[in-house]
Amino acid sequence: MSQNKPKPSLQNRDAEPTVAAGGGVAWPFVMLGVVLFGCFLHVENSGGAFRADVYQSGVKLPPPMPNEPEEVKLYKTGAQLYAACAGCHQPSGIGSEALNFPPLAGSEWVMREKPDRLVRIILDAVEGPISVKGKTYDNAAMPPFRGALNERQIAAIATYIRGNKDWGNSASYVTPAQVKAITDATAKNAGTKWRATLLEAVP
Amino acid sequence: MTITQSSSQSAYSSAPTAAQVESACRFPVLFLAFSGGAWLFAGLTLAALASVQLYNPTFLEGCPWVTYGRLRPAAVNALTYGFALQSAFALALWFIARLGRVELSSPLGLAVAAKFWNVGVTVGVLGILAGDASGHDLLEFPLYASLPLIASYVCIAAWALLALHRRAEREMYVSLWFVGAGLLWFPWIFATAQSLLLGWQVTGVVQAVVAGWFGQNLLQIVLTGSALAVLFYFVPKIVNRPLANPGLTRAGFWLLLLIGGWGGLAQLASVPAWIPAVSGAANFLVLVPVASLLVSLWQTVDGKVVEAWRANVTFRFLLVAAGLLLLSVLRTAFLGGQSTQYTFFATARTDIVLLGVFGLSALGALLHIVPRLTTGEDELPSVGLTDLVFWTSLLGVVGVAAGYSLAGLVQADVNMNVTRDFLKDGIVASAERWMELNLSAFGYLKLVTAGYAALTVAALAFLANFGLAVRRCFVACCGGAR
Repeated sequence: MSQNKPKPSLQNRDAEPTVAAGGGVAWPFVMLGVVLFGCFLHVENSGGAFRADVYQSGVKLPPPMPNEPEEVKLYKTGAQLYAACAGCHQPSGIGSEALNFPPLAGSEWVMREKPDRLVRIILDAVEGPISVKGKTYDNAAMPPFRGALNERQIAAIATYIRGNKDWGNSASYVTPAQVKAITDATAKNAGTKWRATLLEAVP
Repeated sequence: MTITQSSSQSAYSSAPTAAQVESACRFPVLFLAFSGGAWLFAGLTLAALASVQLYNPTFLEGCPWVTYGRLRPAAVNALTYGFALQSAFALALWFIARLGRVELSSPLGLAVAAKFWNVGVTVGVLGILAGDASGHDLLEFPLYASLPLIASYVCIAAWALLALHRRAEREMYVSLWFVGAGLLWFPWIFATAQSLLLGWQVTGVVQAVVAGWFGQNLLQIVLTGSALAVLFYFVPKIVNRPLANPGLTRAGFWLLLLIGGWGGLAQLASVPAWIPAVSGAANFLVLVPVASLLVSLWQTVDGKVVEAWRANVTFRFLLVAAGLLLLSVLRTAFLGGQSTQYTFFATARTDIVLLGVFGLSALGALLHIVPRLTTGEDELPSVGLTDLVFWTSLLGVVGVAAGYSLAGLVQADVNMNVTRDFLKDGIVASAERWMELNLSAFGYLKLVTAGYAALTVAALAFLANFGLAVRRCFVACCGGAR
């Protein structure tokens, strides 16, 4: 049947395929590098920091558990809210001397026994010259968070900043009640940024 | 350079001819290829019946042996182990014999081992239908079927690797890289997955991780690798040009082995977030080796596509299979994440690789190999049946792939929309509001049934043509005795 309809044949039926001469090529490896960079970004953003207890994409700490102590819940909530601060103060809390962002890690303003100064700064921000760890910073970029964040959220951020052992900080946690007391006490101050000289009067 | 060439040529002159090595491997290759075709027919019939139950739940109601939960795994496993792996063995033996210029020793013993493989698949499919399925994707065969499969595989692979070791042509052509990698890869993943799941009986999410890892390696490295062996053998041969750019091919081969097995877990839920994140990244990375390999093939064939398409039926299968390979890695990379989780979109991937990328490559290769081993001609006896195989399998694969993918995207749309409840809008509403969303999903699923039916016709036409060739061969050999 096939003899009725001969087809043009390109090939020698018994011949095996051969290989042309040629060296290596670079483009697959360049492409691999480019795609690999995107892959690292993807895994960094959605990989849960390779923790065995993070199941949700896009989160780096496990969510607060119902049976955890209040300060641990506050700390974990604060770790997620800290994303709003990390733009200037950096995810590692070291700030930037070059860009005039003061550090939070090891800062004497953060690590005081009482959180009153830190909570005031988060509520209404601070401007003008301020000395942190022996360097003087002067930056008016910090926004006030009074009204933008509630008391529990501010307490969570303050707890995270003060208690972050990765940064070397080990101050006590902050309760929403403490934040409420400070918010009410400084209500008449709303809308005005603090000065370092004024804050030094606060315990 | 000249020294190695002359030495390889002298080895070549003492090596057996193409006709000699083919006559030595004839019986096991034909046995494996015909059994593979028969399982293709059986698996597609089961798959077609199962797909009807997706939009007509009362179809075959009342008999537990043919409920969806048994029919679909039986179909997928029959296609994977009966058709795909068995055809891959046939192709591997033929490639080793031809490219290595080596005569298989005691081919009858190899056919006995192949028979045991078929017994294992039969027991496994019946075990699934009887309700003994293990419940792990692509590993549903019960333990009593997996053990004979492993034993039979050890025989077949050892035979093939020993033949590869004895080859007269020492230079290994690209196709043999893929064949060798597949022969060594499969026992590793199959034994690891089965011993973890059925032996040690790991619990919880580890089961899903192990099964997902196995499925990915089976589809992306063993079966896609086998399809690539076919592509790299036949494309340069058909266009009668040397393989362009061997460096690119080598890079693609090693990168595929390195990266290919990492995907496949991108849609797992309730596992630590880094597992789907890394797996989704690997689904993107695998674009690099696939692009390298396909570019290398394209440079070989450049400018001769139309001529080769007209002249050679095998080339038509291979062109479609290569296109589907590119399409399948692209769709998995860009849409295979959480948006299409729990939908038919993931089901489509298995079918595209099994029936499209591997299935079409294997059918194309067998349409060249089978006539050579039986009648000694270039094509199977009936040209009409060969054309029927091509067009029905092409339509069938497109129907199944498009049907499942589109139905999956409709489901994903319900999943992504907060205002729509999956249970209410996706399932319950199918009984009440036929005119809205679900009609479209159901329409796509009917396309799937039509696709499986077309593929069943293709399998039957292939088997009929195969049978005609074998009959003609018998008449030629034993005509005097009859």
